[in-house]
Amino acid sequence: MKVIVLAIKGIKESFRDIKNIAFLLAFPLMFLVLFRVAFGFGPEATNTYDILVLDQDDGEGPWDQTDPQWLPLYNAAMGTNFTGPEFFHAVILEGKTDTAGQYFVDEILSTAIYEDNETKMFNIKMVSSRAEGEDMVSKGDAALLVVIPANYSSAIQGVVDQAIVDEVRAHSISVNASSDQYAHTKLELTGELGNFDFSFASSMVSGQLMQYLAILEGTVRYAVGSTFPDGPATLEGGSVGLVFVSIGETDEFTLFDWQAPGMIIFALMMTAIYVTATLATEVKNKTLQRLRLTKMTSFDMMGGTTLRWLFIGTFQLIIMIVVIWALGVNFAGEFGPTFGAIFLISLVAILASISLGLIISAFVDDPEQAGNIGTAIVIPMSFLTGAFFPMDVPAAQLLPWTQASLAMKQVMLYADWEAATTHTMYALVAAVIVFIIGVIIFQRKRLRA
Amino acid sequence: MVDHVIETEHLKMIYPGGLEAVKDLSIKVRRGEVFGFLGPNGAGKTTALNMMVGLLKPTKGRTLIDGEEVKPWSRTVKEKIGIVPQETILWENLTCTENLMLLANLYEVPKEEGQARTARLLEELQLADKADARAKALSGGMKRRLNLAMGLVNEPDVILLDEPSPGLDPQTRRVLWEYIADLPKKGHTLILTTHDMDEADYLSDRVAIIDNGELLVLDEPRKLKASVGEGDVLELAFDEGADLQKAAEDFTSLGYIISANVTAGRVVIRTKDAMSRLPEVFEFVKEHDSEIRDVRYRGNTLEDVFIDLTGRALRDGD
Ligand SMILES: Nc1ncnc2c1ncn2[C@@H]1O[C@H](COP(=O)(O)OP(=O)(O)OP(=O)(O)O)[C@@H](O)[C@H]1O
Ligand SMILES: [Mg+2]
Repeated sequence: MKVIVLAIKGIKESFRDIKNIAFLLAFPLMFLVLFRVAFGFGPEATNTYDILVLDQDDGEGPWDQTDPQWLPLYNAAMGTNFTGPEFFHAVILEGKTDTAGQYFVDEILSTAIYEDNETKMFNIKMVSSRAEGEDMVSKGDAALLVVIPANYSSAIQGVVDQAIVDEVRAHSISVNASSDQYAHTKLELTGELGNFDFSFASSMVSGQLMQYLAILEGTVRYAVGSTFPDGPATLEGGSVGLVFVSIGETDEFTLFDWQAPGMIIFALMMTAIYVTATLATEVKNKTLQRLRLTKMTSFDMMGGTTLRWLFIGTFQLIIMIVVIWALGVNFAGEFGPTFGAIFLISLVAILASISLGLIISAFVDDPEQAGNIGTAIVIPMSFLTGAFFPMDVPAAQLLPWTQASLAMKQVMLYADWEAATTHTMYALVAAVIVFIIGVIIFQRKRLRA
Repeated sequence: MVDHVIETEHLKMIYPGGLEAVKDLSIKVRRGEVFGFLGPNGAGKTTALNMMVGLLKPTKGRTLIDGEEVKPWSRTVKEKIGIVPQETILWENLTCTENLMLLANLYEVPKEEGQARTARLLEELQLADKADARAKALSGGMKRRLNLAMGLVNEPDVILLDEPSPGLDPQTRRVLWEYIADLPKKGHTLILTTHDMDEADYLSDRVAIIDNGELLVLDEPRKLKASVGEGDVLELAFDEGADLQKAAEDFTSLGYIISANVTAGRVVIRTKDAMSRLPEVFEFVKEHDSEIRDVRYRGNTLEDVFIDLTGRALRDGD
């Protein structure tokens, strides 16, 4: 396969050029370390963020219709006589509020403080419509808008139901539970995704929610478990509620975490310069002419170039990931899927960078020019794509790297797979378009002429 | 009937900027011959070769290889042509073997055959001990030999050699010449460019002399040399300040001198049986209050042909 032959030839060349490969690897690392030093320690965890809440929770839930199956068991054990709604208000909401949404706002968010200095995390302002909230956020009057959906109470009842059913099952007592009686819902955190305040505030809000849910679930399971004669078989003492607490720890979210996704994309954009430089060398040394006289097709040439740089880019990426990890970046999601996603998004970004390299190298005649012109194009472009800080350039949204950057942020900061997939798809489409343009231009200018 | 491998029809190249590098080149190269292009620097040799293999699009005219027109990327070229460019074109960071194997692979030479050819070429061109050295670590002459090997690895029917020997020491040059002279025996047709008359003379079956993009003559070296005139050549160098032009004119008046003219700072006279005429020549110069500093005696060369045609020496262009 000539494509492979050419790819291997290129990889050999790249790895034998010591200066080149050292730069190739050292540059992104240097960058990352620099950023880690500059931003790694994050701002002081004393900022109180202005957040908006739109509470649409109607307070209703399945227990309003039918008492949960386990309630008699609970009443008997505790000597109480709760109906479903009474249990909800007295136990789950501790008699403090009418709805779970209200409870989350008044008892959780309002009381949240930074552990080390007791500063409040949030200043909360209630809004009465989504439009009003979004307007304030976009004006920068608040870091984000939390929308608590109408079925939030219902969902909380579901969480409790689920926890209890799980606990009962752990005691091998069979219960009937159909999952469709539970409401599934999502709290919305609305804001400007690239915005730094939003990133912090949203991660703290979600941290609070996770922590609350973990505690709620643990507490409920403990309460129910202890009503069984043989006591809680798998859970002991009062530690139950604390098992999941670490999930939403917010104060580890640093500016470095926030910069890292953009840095990866930026480093991968540099591939465009390397591609340009190697192709320009091939033009200048006339080895491209030599290739043209062989039975190599332009498809082989383009394919070989693409494979070569995908390989080298991947190599770079792996080193970057190790370094990022070693520098102690925090990921929102789990290890495996997060790295898988970073890898896929990076491949798309590398493909886009190779394509850009093809385009530029159609117009430069030697490696020095390639370095200069390549840098002059790539660096401003990396700013446009928001690699360093959010840019408000609508046209830049069309660039594959912008979308890859957003996807990378979604993965690393929010573990929002859905949004990440959407951005990745956009990035892929844009990358393929740029690739086709690059191949056509390069062929016209360098292979056919 | 003569079998022609390559035929060019009215090839013309005008570079952007207006320079007419090749004017109207129509030649026919016979199968199995060594065809030499002889001409000074800038004559248009490289330009002509590049058009013949489709690397350069002619402004006008076309080239046929085995009757098929050459187009960029044309299969005919890829299958039948090997080119040894004037500049050494190598992948500096690949070893000799890798350079050759890369081309072998891209020419679809089967792997084992490619390895065998690579080893053989390196052996024949005395590069075997450098097989695993990177191209950038080779000396200039070694690079040149590797460059030659690169054009042969696909064992093409027609090999175009664009000035194969500059920069080589005399011994290596001999080795290279002998190697090149052997190629037609293996069934290859050779097209060779050079500005070195000895090289053209030694290697070529037929020589096309070109200057300023124009084909001046095309024939066998022997016939070309004979065409310049009978006799031998004496090249005379005078002390500085001597009026060479006048000296040449004076010589012409002598009965035994066939021709006399000035080229490259020397008076070149042509006479039969030159050796025995030497004393007379010295005497004649002395009579004219002049002194000869240096004399060279030789038979006719292609250079004389060139001088005869253009009034200039080949090396003027150097
Ligand atoms: N790419 C180019 N653009 C413009 N002019 C060119 C180009 N290449 C060659 N020329 C000009 O065309 C003329 C012929 O050049 P060419 O390289 O064919 O000469 P040559 O006979 O191969 O000379 P040499 O013996 O020095 O290799 C020269 O005057 C040269 O300056
Ligand atoms: Mg030349």
